[in-house]
This record gives sequence, C-alpha cells and structure tokens, in this order.
Amino acid sequence: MAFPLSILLIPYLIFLLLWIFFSFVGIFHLLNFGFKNLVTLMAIFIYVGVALFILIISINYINQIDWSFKIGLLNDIINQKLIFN
Amino acid sequence: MLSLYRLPNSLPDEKIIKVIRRDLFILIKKVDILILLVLLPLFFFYAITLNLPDLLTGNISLPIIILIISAYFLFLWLFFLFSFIDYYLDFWIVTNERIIDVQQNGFFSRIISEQKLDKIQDVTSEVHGMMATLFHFGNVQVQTAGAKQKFNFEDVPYPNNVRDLLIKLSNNKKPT
Repeated sequence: MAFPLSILLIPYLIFLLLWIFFSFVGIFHLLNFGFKNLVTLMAIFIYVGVALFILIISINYINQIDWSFKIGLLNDIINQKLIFN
Repeated sequence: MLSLYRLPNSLPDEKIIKVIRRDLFILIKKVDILILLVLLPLFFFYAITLNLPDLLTGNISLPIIILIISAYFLFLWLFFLFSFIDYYLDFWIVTNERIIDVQQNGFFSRIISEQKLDKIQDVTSEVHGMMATLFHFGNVQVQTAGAKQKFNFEDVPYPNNVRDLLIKLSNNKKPT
C-alpha cells in the first residue's frame, strides 16, 4: 500500500490553522486591551511581518518538494512470497 | 483599546500621574530564552550534517524536516507574542485620585481593581536578589482599607520611588 507524501501536509495544516487562530487571539487582546499608542501598533505590525516572513520562507521550501512521491509502507511485506503467492 | 485620556470610571479632575509596568528585565529574560531556542535548530542541523547527511536529501526525511522546522519557528514566534502580551497587558495606573491594577491572566481572563488613594494605609517596597538590586526593580505592597486589602506591584522599576510617590499622593488625599 502506498501513500502520497502529501499526507504529511495534513498535520502541518492542522497546526497552521491552530496557529492562525491563536495569532488572532493574541492580536485581538492587544487591540482590545492594549493602550492606544505606537507601541501596541508596532508590536502587531512586527508580529504580523515576521510571521509572514516565516510563512513565505516555509512555502518556498515546501513548494520545492515533490509531494506526489509515494511512500510504500507495506511494499516489502506485500512483495514477500511467504504471505502472498 | 485603552486610552490614557479616557480611563474607565474616571473621576472629575482626575489626572494620570504614572503608568507602571514590570521592569523590562523581566521581558528581556524571556527574550533571551527565545533566542536560545531559535539557535537550537542550528545545532541539530550541524549534528545531522556530520552524522546523518542522507537525511537532508531523502525523499521522505527532507519534507518531514522542513515541516517540523517551519512549525517550530512559527510556534516560537507565537510564544514570543504570548510572552509580550503577558508583560504588556499587566500594568498599574496611578492617578491623583486612585490606583488601578490591571492584570491579564492568560487569555480571556482580565482582572481590574482600583482603590482610592485616601484608603491607603501602608506602603512597603522590597528588593530581593542580585539582579533586582543591580537593575533596581522590586515589589511594592500597598495595604488598603478597601475590599481588596493588598495591591501588589510586582517587579516594578525603582520600587522605592513608587513607594514614595504613593505615600505622598495618599497623604495629599487624606483629611487633615
């Protein structure tokens, strides 16, 4: 049985969704409870900027992978003539 | 957002004297730990290059490494945001009428207490430890006659000055 390599993206995407949710929670708290001044706005701006930078670098490396590659977990067992004729 | 020009329940002729946060050293301590954690993957990369170089070219191992490193750095950056929020959203406001204590305990949990200056009975400042002594930060405890009897200013810069300020403002408010 073979699985495409892209199956590894599923847990990564779940993590990414959680990360985006908690990022929004953090920014919501800063906007709602922080002082109306430059420090609050700069903190949000820097956080979003660096986060986008990390995401762009990640996407750049992820795009270079061939995700259609098949992972054959059971290939060795299936090919054993002891189990299958 | 909280405006310094419009405090909640502001009293007539109320003016903000000082906004106090924990000393910057507390935030710097957390940033130092984060910097170490950012550098950690470099050590792992160096170890893998020396001992298991095939991992960096494998069809399965390389994508796993890329996804793990991406998730690791995103998580670290989010952790830094939480550390900053924990520092930035805890503060004390001293006005000419009252002291306001704002504490953010994690997410979706915020405690705001206030006490009139004429209810202050005792103010104590304390500095413990080498770092606190060198960098001039410590705690200020305010004993009041209100429902919340103790206000704690934790790890604030120049606690002796804060104590003097509170005593002076409190004495100005008390009837002679």
